[in-house]
Amino acid sequence: MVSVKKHFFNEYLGRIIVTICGIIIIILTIAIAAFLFYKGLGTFIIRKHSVLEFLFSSTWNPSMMTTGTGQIGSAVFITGSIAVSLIALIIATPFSIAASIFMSDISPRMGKKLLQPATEIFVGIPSVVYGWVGATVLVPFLAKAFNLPRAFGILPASIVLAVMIFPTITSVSTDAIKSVSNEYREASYGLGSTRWQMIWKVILPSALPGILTGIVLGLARAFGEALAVAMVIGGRDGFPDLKQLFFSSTYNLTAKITSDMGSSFEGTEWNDALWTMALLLLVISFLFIVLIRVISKRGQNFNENK
Amino acid sequence: MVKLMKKILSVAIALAMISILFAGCSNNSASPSSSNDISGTIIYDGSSALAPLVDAAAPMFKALYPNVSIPAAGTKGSGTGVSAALAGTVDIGGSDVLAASFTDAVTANKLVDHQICVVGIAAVIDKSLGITNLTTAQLKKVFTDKTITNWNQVDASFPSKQITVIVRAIGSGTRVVFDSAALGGAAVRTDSALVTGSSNGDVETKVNSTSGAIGYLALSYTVSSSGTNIIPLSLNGVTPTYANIYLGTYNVIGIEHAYTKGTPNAQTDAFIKYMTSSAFASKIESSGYGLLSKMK
Repeated sequence: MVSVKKHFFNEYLGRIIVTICGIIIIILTIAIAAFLFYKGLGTFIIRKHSVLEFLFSSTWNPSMMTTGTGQIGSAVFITGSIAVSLIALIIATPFSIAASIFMSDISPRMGKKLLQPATEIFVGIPSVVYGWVGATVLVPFLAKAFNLPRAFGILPASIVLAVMIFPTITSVSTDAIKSVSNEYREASYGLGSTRWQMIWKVILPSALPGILTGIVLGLARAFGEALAVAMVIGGRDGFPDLKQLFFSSTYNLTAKITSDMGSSFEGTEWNDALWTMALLLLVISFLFIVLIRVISKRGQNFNENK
Repeated sequence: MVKLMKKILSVAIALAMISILFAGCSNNSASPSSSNDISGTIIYDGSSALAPLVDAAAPMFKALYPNVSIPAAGTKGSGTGVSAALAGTVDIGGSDVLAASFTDAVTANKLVDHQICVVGIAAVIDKSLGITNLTTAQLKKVFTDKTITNWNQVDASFPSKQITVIVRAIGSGTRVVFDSAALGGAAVRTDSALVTGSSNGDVETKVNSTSGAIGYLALSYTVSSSGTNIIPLSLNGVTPTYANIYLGTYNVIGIEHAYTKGTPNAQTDAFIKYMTSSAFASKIESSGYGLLSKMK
């Protein structure tokens, strides 16, 4: 009797708990996705707006009452999200890859002692702090530096985001670069290459799939960040001014949702359109996950074929 | 066997301790007093202008009614307040604007409106501009006319500095009040001189850090902004103070509504009565709100 009990505890209890947890996570994910689809598709199914209007029109004037209709064109916010994330990526990626190379091949000891803890601290800082520093220090600084009346807009948002996604890209690409087999390093030294030639021509190409995974993860994080961006992007239902592309207030998807969700009344066209934006964010992050899968699969094939 | 005994003993001790803990609680609630008859929780969400007042009232109310618990007030905004009150997920839904501005009359009539207090809204401006007063026409120009980009276009005596207009998001209770009472309902400009602040605090930060900026704040926030770069503006020569609001000379004001679904339950009813009672009046005024009873 005792042995059966003991056997049960040793063998099955852990397994059952782990399985239940796993199933709960799966159910939760499906439930959230289903809820977002249910809420977000209302704009198209019940209110008969076209998907094209939502994606490509920039006329945002939804009805704020439970009755009545308006326009729900979200092109401004979608453009804002894409621009902010891509510029953040352009700023952060060179720093991240440089830091990874430094940590793995140039000075592993200093990298481990100084650089790695430093990037880990970046991860721990809450996004509201980034946003606050951005709004009170970065924006006035940029206004002064470029002699502008105000500097809210895409560039400060991108800079804040770049700092936030830097650790993500760095840690993933460091792992990728470290996992490049040492034989490659020895072989290229053996052929007489310098350290830089080895890094540039051997290490980076073979770590590329891993680095790309890091970049896509960073992009996904940039797309989903709300609070920090909302505090520095300015907030205006319109495209940035052509004359001041980087420094005129606009919205991205997440900042628009955060700014409007409190005031919008449930059951209004306005509230439904915000859910549709949330659904769009879910779809985009799903696409990023697929992209990462494709990249890492390609990477496996690439390394096996060599 | 000894191990099993130990386990049983420890469980028994733990149970005993828990039961003592609960006994303590039930003893408290059994002590006789009239105000102890009311118990339960009061959940508030909605207007972020009313929330600080609810938080201020909670400990004072609990001193009188020890069995009522009031969690920290939510600040999700007026729209959320009204819809949460309708859905019954909160006991009090706070709003700066009438429920009828969100939904049809039939639905809005399911809610009971309890007016708590009045809140004044003042235009605030970058102190370094040296501007202390605007006329209604000038204010309207600044907030609605996109061809006005420099302060010297508003008045030749004003310094030459670019205008940045800092507003609240569309649908914010503060904005609804300001747009209708100060701007006469005219459409706010949408050019790139416009920046949105997500809350009173955010507007304060942004006006404070942007030179040449103008925005608006609830008076409950301007009382704390002394020592910063911003000052409240007089409108047509009338300073935004409660003295002037009571006289009726300053009229950019909103009423703070506490909505309940139908007749409120006993604890909520007692709480709303407390917030509008004379016992709480001095706290309302010292927190930067005004008393409805003093309005002329």
